[in-house]
Amino acid sequence: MRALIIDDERLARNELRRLLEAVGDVEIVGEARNADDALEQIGRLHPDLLFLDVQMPGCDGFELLERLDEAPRVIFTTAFDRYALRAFDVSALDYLVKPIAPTRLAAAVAKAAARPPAAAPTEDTGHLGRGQRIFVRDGERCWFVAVEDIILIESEGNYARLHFAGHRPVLPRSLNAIGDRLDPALFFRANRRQIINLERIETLAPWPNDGYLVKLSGGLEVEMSRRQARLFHAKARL
Amino acid sequence: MIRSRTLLYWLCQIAGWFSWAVLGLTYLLSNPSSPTVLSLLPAYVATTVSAIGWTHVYRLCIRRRGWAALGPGKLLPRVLPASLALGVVIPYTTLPLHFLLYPDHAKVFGLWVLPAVAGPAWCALIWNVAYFGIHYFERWRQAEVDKLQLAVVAAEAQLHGLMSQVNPHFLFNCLNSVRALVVEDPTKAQAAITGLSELMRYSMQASRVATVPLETEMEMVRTYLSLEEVRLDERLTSEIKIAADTRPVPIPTMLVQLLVENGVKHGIERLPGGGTIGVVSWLDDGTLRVRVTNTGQIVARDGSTRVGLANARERLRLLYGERASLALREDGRSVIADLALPMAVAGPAPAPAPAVAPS
Repeated sequence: MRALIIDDERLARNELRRLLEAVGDVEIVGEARNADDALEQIGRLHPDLLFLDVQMPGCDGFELLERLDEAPRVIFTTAFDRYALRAFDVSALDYLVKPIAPTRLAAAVAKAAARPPAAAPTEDTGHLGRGQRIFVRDGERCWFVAVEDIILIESEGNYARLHFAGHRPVLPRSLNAIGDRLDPALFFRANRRQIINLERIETLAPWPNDGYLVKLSGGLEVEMSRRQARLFHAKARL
Repeated sequence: MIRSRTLLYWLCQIAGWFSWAVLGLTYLLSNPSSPTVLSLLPAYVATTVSAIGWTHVYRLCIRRRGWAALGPGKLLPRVLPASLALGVVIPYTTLPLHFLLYPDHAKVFGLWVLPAVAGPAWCALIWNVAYFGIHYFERWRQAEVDKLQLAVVAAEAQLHGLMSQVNPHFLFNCLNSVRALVVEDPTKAQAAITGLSELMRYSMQASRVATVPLETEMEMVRTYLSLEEVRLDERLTSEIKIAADTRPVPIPTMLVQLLVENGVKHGIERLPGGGTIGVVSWLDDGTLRVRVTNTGQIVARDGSTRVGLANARERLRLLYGERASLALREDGRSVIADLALPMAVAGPAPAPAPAVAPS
């Protein structure tokens, strides 16, 4: 795996690099000392794995992930932060406490390697599809949500609200910005404010506006506009 | 408090025994063959007075022997015979009066010995139950109050403990840097371990020593800053100017350290480009002034600063009353903490000379 180390402390980066040499299976492609630096290197190097310090000046590890369209595999590192650690207990994320125990590091790397890598199409089209993950948080809870698990995305001003597995956190990006990045084979724009997951449609009922009332899994209901219904027909014929 | 309790005791005595007399009288009068109220009244008043008198004497005995502090197991074998004894002495004290008033009764005296003793004995037992019941209840309530006060004291102690602890975020980051240094620069690693040990020792002693000379505290602040410089590299610089005449002035232990640590944690560490920590001290007309500055802004969303500052202010209040102050403000690019302390500690006596040795 090609890894990027993100930590504001030089000694901490050196120590992690030294520890990773012993683990093997990991090639360190870069080191970033803050979020801006990290964003630039992620865009350029496309690492498979991030070692991400939770506490960083300017923008912490979570904010950095929120700014990424697609979340790579991440192993968090932290010296001591009860709040950050609490966010993890529900999700399948991994974190390491500093100073890092070599055995814990090896286990975390093995776990990350076992996770299936993101699907290939992104490389060509730049679309977010099956197998890829988005990082979202709601207050102190964090998720790496798989794109195919998102049932519905709704516009909320400049933000977008995701619906998945009973959760509905907000992503600090506009619906249009997300919509452009989503795989059109999986997602469809039902109206100006909502994008639905085609695989999560349960029933379609005719609606007075010549559109449809779309019932989605999880009890969600969405009205499909007449214009979009026509596009939907065209798409279905394909 | 004591007066109201005495009043309550006498009210209970008089009301209790008189209602007993009234009940007895009513019962006797319900018998058609009974004599008139007037003929019975003197005997009843006499018995009531005798009862109040004897139980009062009994109460003096209880207090002298401290029976109220006994448990139920020890109390019962004492109270039962005492009740019986009261049952005997209360009616028999008034016996001469009885014979004088009702000569007929003297002839049949043997017949009513038992009921005459049983009645007052029962009443004495009820008296005992009431007396010790009230005492037990009061003791239980006092125990509850004590328990609450203890809990408050324990919470306070915990708070002080928290305040004087080395911040874990700093501790683990520091240990992480030291581990990297072990390979990179063993000499520097050794120095860092010594510094960290000194800091830990100082903070552990802080809970036992109320004040230290500013000089001693600054020694630790310098050690702390040198450790943070290892970790933060060129991102942290410090400027310390301690006026010579302020060095021996006693200050609350770990107070300047707390301000400096807050400056690093909430200021320098959050700035990608880093910044400067400044500590300046001077004397101002019998007042010690210490100013801690750091690059950055006051971060409103962070709750921990507030807790640390509130604790520090509480400590100042306990040590100096209203004569000390700690103010936090910002001037656009720096956060400034101003500390003002009177030269001498007031209120609780200052702790004995601290055992903390400057390095």
